Amino acid sequence: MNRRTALTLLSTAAASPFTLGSPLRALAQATAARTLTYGQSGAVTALDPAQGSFATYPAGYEVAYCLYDRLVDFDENLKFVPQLAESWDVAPDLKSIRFRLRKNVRFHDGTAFNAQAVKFNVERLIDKARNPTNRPLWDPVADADVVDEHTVAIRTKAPYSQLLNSLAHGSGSMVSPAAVEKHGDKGIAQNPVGAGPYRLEAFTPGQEVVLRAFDGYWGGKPATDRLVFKYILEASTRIAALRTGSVDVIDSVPVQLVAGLRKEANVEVVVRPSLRPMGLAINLSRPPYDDPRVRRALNHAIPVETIAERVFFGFAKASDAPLAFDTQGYQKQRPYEYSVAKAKALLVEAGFKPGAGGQLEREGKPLKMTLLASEGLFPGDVNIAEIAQRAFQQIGIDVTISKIERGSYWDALRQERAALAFDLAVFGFNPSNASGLYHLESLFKSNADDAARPTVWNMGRYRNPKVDELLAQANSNPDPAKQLAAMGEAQRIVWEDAPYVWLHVNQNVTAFRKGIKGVELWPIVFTIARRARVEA
Amino acid sequence: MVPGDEATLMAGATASQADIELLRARLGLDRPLVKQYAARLVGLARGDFGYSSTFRGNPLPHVLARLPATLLLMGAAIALTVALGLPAGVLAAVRQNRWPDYLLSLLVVGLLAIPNFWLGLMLIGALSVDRGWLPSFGFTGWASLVMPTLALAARLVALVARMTRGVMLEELAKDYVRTARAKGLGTPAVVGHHVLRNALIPTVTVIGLQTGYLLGGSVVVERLFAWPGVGDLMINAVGARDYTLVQAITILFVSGFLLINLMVDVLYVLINPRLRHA
Amino acid sequence: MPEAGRRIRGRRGFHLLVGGGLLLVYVALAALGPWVVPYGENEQDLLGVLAPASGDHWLGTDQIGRDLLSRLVVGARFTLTAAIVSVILAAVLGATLGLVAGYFGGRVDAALTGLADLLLTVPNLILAIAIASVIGAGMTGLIAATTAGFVAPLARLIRGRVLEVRQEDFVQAAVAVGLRDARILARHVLPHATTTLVIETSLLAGQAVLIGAALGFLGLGVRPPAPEWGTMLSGGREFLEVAPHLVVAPGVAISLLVFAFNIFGDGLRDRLDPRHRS
Repeated sequence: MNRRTALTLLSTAAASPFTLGSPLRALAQATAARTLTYGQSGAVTALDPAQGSFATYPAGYEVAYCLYDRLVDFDENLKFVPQLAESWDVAPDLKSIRFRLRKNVRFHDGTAFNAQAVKFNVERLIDKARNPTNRPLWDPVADADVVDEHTVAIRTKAPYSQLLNSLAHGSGSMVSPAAVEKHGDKGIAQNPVGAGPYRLEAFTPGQEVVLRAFDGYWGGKPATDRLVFKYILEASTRIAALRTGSVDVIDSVPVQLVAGLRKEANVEVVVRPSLRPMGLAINLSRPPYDDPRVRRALNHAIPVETIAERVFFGFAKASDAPLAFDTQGYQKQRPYEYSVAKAKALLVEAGFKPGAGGQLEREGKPLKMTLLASEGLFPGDVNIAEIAQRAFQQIGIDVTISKIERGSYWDALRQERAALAFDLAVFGFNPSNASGLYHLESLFKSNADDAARPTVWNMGRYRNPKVDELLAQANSNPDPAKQLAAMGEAQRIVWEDAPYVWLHVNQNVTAFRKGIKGVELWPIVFTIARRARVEA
Repeated sequence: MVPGDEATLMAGATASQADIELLRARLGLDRPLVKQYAARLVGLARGDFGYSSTFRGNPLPHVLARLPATLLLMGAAIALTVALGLPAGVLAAVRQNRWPDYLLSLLVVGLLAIPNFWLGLMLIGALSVDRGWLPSFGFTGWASLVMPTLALAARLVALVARMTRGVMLEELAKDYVRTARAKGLGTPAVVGHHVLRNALIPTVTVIGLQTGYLLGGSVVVERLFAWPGVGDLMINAVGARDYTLVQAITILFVSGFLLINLMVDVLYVLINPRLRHA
Repeated sequence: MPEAGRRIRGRRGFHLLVGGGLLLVYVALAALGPWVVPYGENEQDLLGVLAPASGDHWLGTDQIGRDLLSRLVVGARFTLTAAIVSVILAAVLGATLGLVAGYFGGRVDAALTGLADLLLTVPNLILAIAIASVIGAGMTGLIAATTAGFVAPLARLIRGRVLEVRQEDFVQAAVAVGLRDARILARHVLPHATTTLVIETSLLAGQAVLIGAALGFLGLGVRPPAPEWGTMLSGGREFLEVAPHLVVAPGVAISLLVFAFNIFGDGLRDRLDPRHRS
């Protein structure tokens, strides 16, 4: 313990001329033993479930899960557990849920948590003007009714089986209505007031967040006095900080560095599969990629197992379904066998023949592809693109890679159909509310208008009425078994239609110093520190 | 005139074509180009640098906010150049054709050939990864200034050392020096006030000539070390196709160039008494 | 004194030899690369990623199993072509502008000099970044961006030389006789500027390599998976701990090339330029 204190003091002293909040640092030094420091790979710039919604993802969410409580929570395996709601009843028509709220709960500012507070929050989240983010989670919600002081019923516009997912999602965080009054709608992002185990002590957006244990927490005061979240973008700096002890926990360890880190005696490495399947989104509006045979050929052409095992050093698993393995509703499909011969045969079946120079062509038009790749947005994105390029070239396609800077990638993807500038694009979607249905709807439900920008993430303009029907069923059928069956069938159809080239699911790697207990790594790319405690 | 219509950028990812047209008319983007250009120049004079998609507005205050970090880096590089280059050049001149001189020649040749971002990477590899002696990312205290400064200043140190050596050799060959030596004064006294003052001139000269390198090099070094300066912002702007921001920063760099050249001219006059009386 | 002169000249000849020899090696590799290397530059061995140097892979493999040596050799063509084409293009453009400005004088001269001065206020790399960001990825952008910064200095240099030569008797005679301007320029003025041009071009080539590599490092060079050295450096950065060879090798390649150009240019200058004797 003394050595840790000394190290913390030393590193603090070294950084002191430029660390803002020096008086707080002095305080922190005094209680260094009960402070947990987390070096995050993303910067926290906003802490409001509505405005700005915990930017940036996922760093902001990780802080939010310590600051705020929600009606229901996820446990480590993404099952729903009570939090601010003690129990609930789901109406048989799936159009409302009645919650019985916990009593004697207070927000950090002392105001009471009750049904009125829930109604206030829900209305704030539903309102598009006050909450422009996470619309797919809140658009289906109609309103919240106060039944009595500690009972509230939340209604949806149509049968919606994922209401609990929305409420357990970070954006379902309950904010103190008094605080919204005081700081205004836009002020909460920098002055968060919730009912979680920690309250805000200091916030330097883009640099650091300091949380202090909340004495009045309904679940009892948390074990660690203070949580410090620091933004450390570069992986080696994060790892170095972990090694020297200036941070206790880090996220996003790059796969090539895990082996080295595992050798450290006082560091523990935790690995969890993520919920984000990586793939190449196909633009079905551009021939010949509207031909399912061509798309299946692409899926047969890539050695996904080898990529997962070698290029990602085993910290990835080849996909065998449109959903990730731990997502609610995942159903295994028959994997596309890696076979250049099969791929070539499919292309021949689709009418392609080698032209002059060996390149495949159909009706005189050569088979070309523009492959969009982000830079640093997904793990190994440029490498994936280069591997895919070579794989496709081996089956006779002329591939050009177009690199887009990470900041502009989403824009490049979510264009109007006429403005789409790619045939395939590296993409991975993370359903942060853990719902497989949400995932399937976001990517594979038909767009409202294919010519305009995609409704959510169906950039490829995939359209299959059968799939739409099955997804609607999964949403409205009260029987969970039938929901799963509908989702399973939808996945089967999507997998066969192959609007994606499915690759793999990465694993998330978090590391922390031995002696830290209770740090949870959730599949939705979150490293959760709210139940963490420092020992020894 | 460059891709990425301002109206489209401002309207955002969810706007319809009709909205964009409306915005375009409101911004005056349907006026003839010449009129738009004139309006833009007027705006520049008032400090309005246009609409940056990154900051959703005038980028000037945000760019200026990043300026201190860049100034710190460049200042440190210049300081290091003087601190290392000057003595090295003097030493090489005083020990001409002996091993310090040859060593310097070798180093100069080397430092002028290696790219500064590679030098930075090598420094990171040697001092940061695995060992963790120095931080290699972002602005986290004095220690994080060391490697970026070394990477940026290396070339300047080499040039200053080389030129100082040349000037020193000239001076040392002059009559007044020989006279002083004949009178029995040792080397340190000889290499004293007079000669040293003349040695400052090549330093200032080099810095003046290499201003372009200093400004351009800072962009690459900032990118490598994620140093939160103006250069790093410029690369982000390029990636985001935010041409307004690129333009704003370019203008800033040009101003900086002119300013530094002006300062060099002033320093010249101060250091070189002959110029003053001319 | 003559002794020293001969010794110096001998050393300079040595410079030409070493520099020229290295350049020849690079050119040969660039030209013959794809036929000489053991593996294709995009050939991926996914079962052997990040392999250290071995008998199969003399310099090891990168993160998707491509042979580093093969990529390095094939990558020479990008850097070398971009650098050589840029300086030659800049020389042609600069010489033309300089000739015209120096010979005709008056308003033409004032206008061109003003333009050149304007261009000179933008640091080379900044200008290159701005141009590359507008033109986009690829060799065209790379060459255009690198060329831009060299045109103005070359133009000024040639202009200066032309101004000197213009006063000479043989030029005055040609004018008196009534020869056409173009003929005078081509036959009588140009040859005397050629030496300066050649020397300066070879001295700038090294800088061109550095600028090209910097653009590649910043992601503004050629498209992936092209094995351009600067791009390889930025790609190798995240593997610095586990596979430093990915960063060391391309850096050495760049540095040696710059060194070769620098030393060759030095040798050329001392051989050809009567005014520059150490």
